[in-house]
Amino acid sequence: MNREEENGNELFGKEDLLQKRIAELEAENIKLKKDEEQNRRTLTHLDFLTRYANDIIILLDENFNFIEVNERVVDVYGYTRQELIGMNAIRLRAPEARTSFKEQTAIAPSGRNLFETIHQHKNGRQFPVEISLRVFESGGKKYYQAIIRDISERKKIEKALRESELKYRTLFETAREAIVILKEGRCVDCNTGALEMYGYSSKDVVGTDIFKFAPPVQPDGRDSREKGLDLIRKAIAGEPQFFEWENIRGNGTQFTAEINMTRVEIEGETLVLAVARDIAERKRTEAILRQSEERLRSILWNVPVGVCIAKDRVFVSANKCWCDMFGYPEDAIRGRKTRMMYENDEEHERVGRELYADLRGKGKKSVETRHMRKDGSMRNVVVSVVPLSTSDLPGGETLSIVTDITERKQYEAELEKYRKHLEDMVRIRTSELRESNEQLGAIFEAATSGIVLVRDRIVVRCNRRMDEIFGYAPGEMVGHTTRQWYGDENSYREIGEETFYCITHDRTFFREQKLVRKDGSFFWGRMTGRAMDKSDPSKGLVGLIEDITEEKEAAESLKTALARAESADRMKSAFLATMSHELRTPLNSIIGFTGMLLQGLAGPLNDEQATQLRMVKDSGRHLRALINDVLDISKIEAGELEIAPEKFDLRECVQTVIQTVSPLAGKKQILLNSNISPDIGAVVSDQQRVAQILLNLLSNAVKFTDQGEVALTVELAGDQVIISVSDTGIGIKNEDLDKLFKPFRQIDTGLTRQYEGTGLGLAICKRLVEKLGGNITVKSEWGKGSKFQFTLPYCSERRI
Amino acid sequence: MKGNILLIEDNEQNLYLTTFLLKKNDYSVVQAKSGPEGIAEAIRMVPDLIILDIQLPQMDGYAVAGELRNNRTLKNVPIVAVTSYAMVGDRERALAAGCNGYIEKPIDPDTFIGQIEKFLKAR
Repeated sequence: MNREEENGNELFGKEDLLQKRIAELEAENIKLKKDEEQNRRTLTHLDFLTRYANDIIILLDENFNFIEVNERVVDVYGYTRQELIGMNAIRLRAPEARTSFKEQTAIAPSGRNLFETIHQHKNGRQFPVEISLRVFESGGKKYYQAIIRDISERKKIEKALRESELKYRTLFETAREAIVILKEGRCVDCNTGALEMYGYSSKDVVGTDIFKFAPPVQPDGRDSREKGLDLIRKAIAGEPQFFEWENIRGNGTQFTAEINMTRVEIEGETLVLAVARDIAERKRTEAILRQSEERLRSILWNVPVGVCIAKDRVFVSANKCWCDMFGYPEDAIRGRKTRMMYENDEEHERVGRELYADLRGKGKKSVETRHMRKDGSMRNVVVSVVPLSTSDLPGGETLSIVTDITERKQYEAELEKYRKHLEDMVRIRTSELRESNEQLGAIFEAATSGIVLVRDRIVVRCNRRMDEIFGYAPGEMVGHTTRQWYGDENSYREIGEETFYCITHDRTFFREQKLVRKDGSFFWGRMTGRAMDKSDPSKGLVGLIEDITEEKEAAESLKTALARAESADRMKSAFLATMSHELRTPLNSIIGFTGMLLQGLAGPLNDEQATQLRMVKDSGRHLRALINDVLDISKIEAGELEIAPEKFDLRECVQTVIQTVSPLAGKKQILLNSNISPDIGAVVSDQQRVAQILLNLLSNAVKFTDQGEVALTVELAGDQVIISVSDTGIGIKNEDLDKLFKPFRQIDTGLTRQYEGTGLGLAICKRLVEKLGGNITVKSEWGKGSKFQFTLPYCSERRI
Repeated sequence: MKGNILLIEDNEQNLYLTTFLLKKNDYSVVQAKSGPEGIAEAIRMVPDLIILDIQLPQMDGYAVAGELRNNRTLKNVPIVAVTSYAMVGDRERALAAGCNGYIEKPIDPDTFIGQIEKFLKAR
């Protein structure tokens, strides 16, 4: 139709060519008619095509006003065709979508544009559309063709899809498990859980080799890569894999995970989805549980208490102690009936009845019975039963604790025996004690001393003698203070302090004290006291009181006598001293003046005068010797002999004595031989006394020897000096040897006149020697001679 | 003259005897008949030796010896006691009182001078 108008216009411009063109037009008219026919047909076809298309097809002018629409638009927008023709396309848009109209519809002249927008039904319902806009020109005019498609359904599906994907992504990301998508051995994607579990901070692990996150070898010994790839292959083949896997974190630590691998199809690719769960915690809990169970089992097995587990009176197991107790090997009792432990059915049933009946109630009880060992011997036992589970009694397992009380039973029996024995002993002892007590009571009463028990200075008990001593009626003193015993407060207090000290220090109190009888008279009492129980002074003291008045009086008189004797002794000593002095003073004159006269100091003497004076002098010397001897022996008898030790030369001392004696020996024509050992030197002793002894022995020897010799030897023997004087004199009869050293006993008094002397010499010698720490001995043969020998301790240094 | 000797002795006979014996043996003798007199003489003359009888009236020989020893000028003068050994400890007492030695009574003219010389030498 448009083309027809076009052709008409051309015809109006060219009049000169009209004729020529008529023919052509005629021809063309025919052709046109044909074309028109053709066109009409085409239009009809097009009309069909457009009218009934599912899409909306619209023809717009250059200002986007509707020129033509197909039928579908009426359905979609609710406007009639008449309403739509001439209406601007913008009016189909939802108000909020209108602003973008210009922009969306601006297209390059030859271009085509595809865009989405929101359209609105006549009734206001909005819906998304996709518009395909095309521009073309015809007859110098610009036309638009728009094909509009309602995409509500598609949008809905898209939204659903988006939501679904978000949901899954969220699930994927928020899952606590590590989720990893694998393609062969590589990580294609993973979630936050995986990053956290493996200790990586970002998704840079994506694309890496997953075996980087595993140790080289798995616990079963297989190579991680080999095993992993094998598992992945199996998963891809359609078998989901569930396994435990050792992993290594980014920081190098290792952990065990449980991994679930399944095949997934993503965008046409076959991948593997691996979900890993860290089971370290579970493993640890399991290990603790296992350990705890192990420990319990070990404890149960090792406790030194017999334990067995049974079900329906059939043994399940028993511990070591139980097995040892009854002599069974550890594995020999499972499945055997508990009946084997009992002597007979009755006992087995009784124990079962009592134990299990009660189990239902309190759930615990002990029964005493007898168990048979494997070797047939019987043991006394106590069996306690505890149900292992409270649910299905009596069908459940029970735990029995078995205690062997055989020995305890024996001990009990023995203990009983001992107890009886002890009772007997106590009975016997009690009667013994009673008897002993009676005896003691009798002794207590019969004692000749007063016996009293005092506590806190109060008489608790006393015997009859005590009452007698103090002159009280029997029992009268009991309960009374001991103050009444003492004459004054001072004694009472003093004795109180003393006895307290004694009983608290485990000492015996002793005192002689003037005491007062009931009638006020005094007597001397000897008091002895001791703590009743030294570990507990509060139990008081046992006192003993004796009346020692007579004893005291006797002692008094004795003391007087002694004092008198001592005084006499002192007087004797004083007398001796005076006598000694008084006797010596005249002797001094006699010996002195005769000596001087004999020396011719007062002038020459004739022979007769000299002889007589010599006699006076000898008598004087003899008298001096007598006085000295008497004095010495008196002192010795009185124990007053004095020793003055000093260091002196023994050799010199001996030689001096020899010189003194030699004139006498010479006069009697007796040989005086001396032999002093060369090692004799200084000694510590009383020189004067040693000389006295020696002089005595030598002058005796010379005196009693008429012919032959007197020999003196001095020698050292160990720590002693031995001095011997032997002679060839008259000797001493055997029977007289004993009397020799006793004072006033000169042998054979008939000889006194022949051998002058006091008879005190040897007695003095013996005492002196002893006093000097030696001893004197004599050997003699009557008529042949004697040998006197004395010793002196040899000490060259003064020690005394 | 062998030396000056002070003789303290109350008994006339002994005084005479000892003086005679000493003088005959070339000693010069000064006599004192009591302890106090002896002490006074000793201080006055400072003798070479003092012979002191222990049994003196009033003040005995021990006391006299003690006094003499307390005098510094007499420090080195030997004192010889003459004792009769009547009581226990006589000798010890004599030595303790300050005597250098003792001679037993009665004196023996045969040995007496020898003993005196010994003490003089030891001085």
